[in-house]
Amino acid sequence: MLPAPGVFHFLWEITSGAVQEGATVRTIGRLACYRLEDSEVTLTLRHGSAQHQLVVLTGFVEPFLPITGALYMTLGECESRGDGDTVLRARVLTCVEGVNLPQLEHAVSEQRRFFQEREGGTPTPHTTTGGPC
Amino acid sequence: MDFEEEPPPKEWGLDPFFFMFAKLYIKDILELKPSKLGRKIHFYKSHPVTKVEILGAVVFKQEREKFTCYGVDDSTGVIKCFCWKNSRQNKASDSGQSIGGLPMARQQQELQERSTLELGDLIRARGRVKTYREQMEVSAFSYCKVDDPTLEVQISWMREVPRLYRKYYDKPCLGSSAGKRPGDTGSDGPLTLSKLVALMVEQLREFLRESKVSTFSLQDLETVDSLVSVACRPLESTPTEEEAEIAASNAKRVRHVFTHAAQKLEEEGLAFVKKCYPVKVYQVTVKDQELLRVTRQIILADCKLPHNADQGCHFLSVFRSVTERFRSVNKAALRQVLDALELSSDIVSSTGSHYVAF
Repeated sequence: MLPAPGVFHFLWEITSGAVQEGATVRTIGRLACYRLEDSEVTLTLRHGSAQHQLVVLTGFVEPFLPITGALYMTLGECESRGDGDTVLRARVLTCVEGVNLPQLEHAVSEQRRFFQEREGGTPTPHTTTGGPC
Repeated sequence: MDFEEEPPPKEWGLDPFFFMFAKLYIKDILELKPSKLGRKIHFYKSHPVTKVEILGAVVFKQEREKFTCYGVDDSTGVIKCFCWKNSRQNKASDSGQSIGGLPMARQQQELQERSTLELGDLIRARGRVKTYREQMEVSAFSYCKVDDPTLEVQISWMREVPRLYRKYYDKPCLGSSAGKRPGDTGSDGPLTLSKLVALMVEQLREFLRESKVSTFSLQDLETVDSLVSVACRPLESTPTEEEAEIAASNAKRVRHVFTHAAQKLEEEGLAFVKKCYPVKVYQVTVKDQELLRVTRQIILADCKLPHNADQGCHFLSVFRSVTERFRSVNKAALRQVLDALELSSDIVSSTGSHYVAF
């Protein structure tokens, strides 16, 4: 009856296919555009030199106030579209403009490192990719 | 280190976990093990958990007349949190007067708004953990919606909780026996002869405290199965030839361990040598009634002397008099005797080294 927990993944991890279809994820990105007629939002985030983007289906969370360029945190299930792209069907969408992104990244990595240590039994090198948060 | 064994109920209160709202991950709350003695207490490793604090997003909501059930997701798991309505809303209506000049209905409405959460809101709840139909749930004592527009609260939670786990939650409680079990040498490193002797000293202390034994010889100790099994533990490291020789023979090892452990107890004053021939017999210091009686009489007599009228008699003068009768009692043993007499209110220590008897 309860939904699955939304494990935190960075935008580039979802678009690169590291997340399985149907998995519940939490992620963060900037609102690039909002297509009201399709109930879709495109979230983007820069990582290194690349700009990653993810389509988020907002059918369940409308109406909401879209602020172009603002950071949004979303929680939902990953789905695969016909053309092979991954989209996120959001159940929660909140504006978190003003968040300290590097601090958030660091906190998420710290938490992941802790979980890896617990499972592995030994400390593992710091990593920002792969594995649940 | 495996300390997953459930500690006995008398030690639960020694663990701060028993009283605090533990900030556990929801995944760990869902996997808490119920106590073998009852379902109201649960264990995280060897820590007794009764109450938790959770922070997470509301991903599920079920409204009922007397409570609202929120599904709270902290990214490790989702748990049901029951937030009871009556106490919060009835407080405003029972007060009889409006507080702060606001009309009653508006107050109630504000209270309701603050305590009603929607999907996606961040909730912080503190409450009791319980099991219902094999599922863990939280019954909240208090809860509130957290305004976290820049994720500061969630970021600090993500940094704080692993630190709590590493520093406290994943370690055994220091005061309990889970922290120092008989099988545990207490530190890393192989079991050597000296560590085995130290282990035996602890075991002997406990044995003498709990049993009615008043005198013992080394041969008597060799008849106690629990002590012999500890003494027969195989050594993992024998750095010297002498130790290797002792370790090679069971009988030698047992004799060596018991001899040295008894000597250590003698140094600590917990036992003294009562007689040496034909067999060395040790007396447990505080169980020697004759020694206690004589010491008390000595202090009583000494206190009547004029120069002892103010503070009582000094430890050293008592020691001198006692050793005239009991030659093998050392200073540590006399301290044990004086502590025992003070516990039974026969004497009082006026300073750290002066005693008065009644």
